[in-house]
Amino acid sequence: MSESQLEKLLAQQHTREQDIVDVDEPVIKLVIFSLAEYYFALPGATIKEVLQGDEAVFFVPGMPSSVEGVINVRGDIESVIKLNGLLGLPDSAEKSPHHSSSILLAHGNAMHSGLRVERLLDVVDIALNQIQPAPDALPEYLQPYVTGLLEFNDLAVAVLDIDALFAAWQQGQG
Amino acid sequence: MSAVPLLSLPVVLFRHAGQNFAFEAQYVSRQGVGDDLQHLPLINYADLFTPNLQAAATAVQWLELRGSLARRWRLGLQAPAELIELPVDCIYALPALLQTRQQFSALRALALYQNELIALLDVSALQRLADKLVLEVTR
Repeated sequence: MSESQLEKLLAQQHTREQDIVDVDEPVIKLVIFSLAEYYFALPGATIKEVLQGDEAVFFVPGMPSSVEGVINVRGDIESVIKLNGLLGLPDSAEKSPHHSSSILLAHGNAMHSGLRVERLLDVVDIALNQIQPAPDALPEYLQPYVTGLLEFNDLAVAVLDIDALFAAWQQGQG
Repeated sequence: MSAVPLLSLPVVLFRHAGQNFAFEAQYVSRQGVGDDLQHLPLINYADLFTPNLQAAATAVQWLELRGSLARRWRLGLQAPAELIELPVDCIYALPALLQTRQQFSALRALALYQNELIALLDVSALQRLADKLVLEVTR
């Protein structure tokens, strides 16, 4: 029996309605990355550029170990820091060769810096309603920085607040 | 009359613990290897940079510095220093985020020169560290 033309028509209309709902849903661009086998995201609006992980980083003496150094970005210099300590994660730099990592040039309201990440997974537009509030069960040391949780490709991704990260780092944490 | 733009900065460059350090040459009066200026205090750079570690070796060279209030003192180095002209376009202020966490107060700026990083030091801040060290030793 041939498929009902009416059913096809109704199915197309249903799809169109869903599309309309999706367009209306506010979305946020997220940069999703991994650090020490955990998954995090930062709003795309705070990431100005993604650099290859093998970019030459110059060690700066007299800095804490969470400072990897500085890089030359088109004739200017930018700091590169590691967030592992701040996020309660082991230092992954030695285990992960830099050629597979990336440096995110992050800009907060008052500060900016390069952030070393283990692996850049994706840059995606996510509907805001897909981001769940951070649960109370979140480890205490993560609570100041995590604004929400997201399921992305079956991975649990914590959405981070760059200004909270920079503020804590400046205060000597991490 | 407009000032002539500065194209390069004369600095005295030295290596310590595998890193490059430098400060403005205008604060260096002279250099020496012997102990013929015993009346001026001699402070090893290693004791200023890593005050909690015992210096591995004695100074092989000293630089006589003129710090604040025209005070003279000697900075002991574990490697020979050299005078270079650092092009101004390779000198950068310390990035703001790093200023907040710097553990060595004499670090003032950075230079990327011939594909190496040079930590540029503030001689007045070095002198303050030296004064503090002398005070602790004599206490």
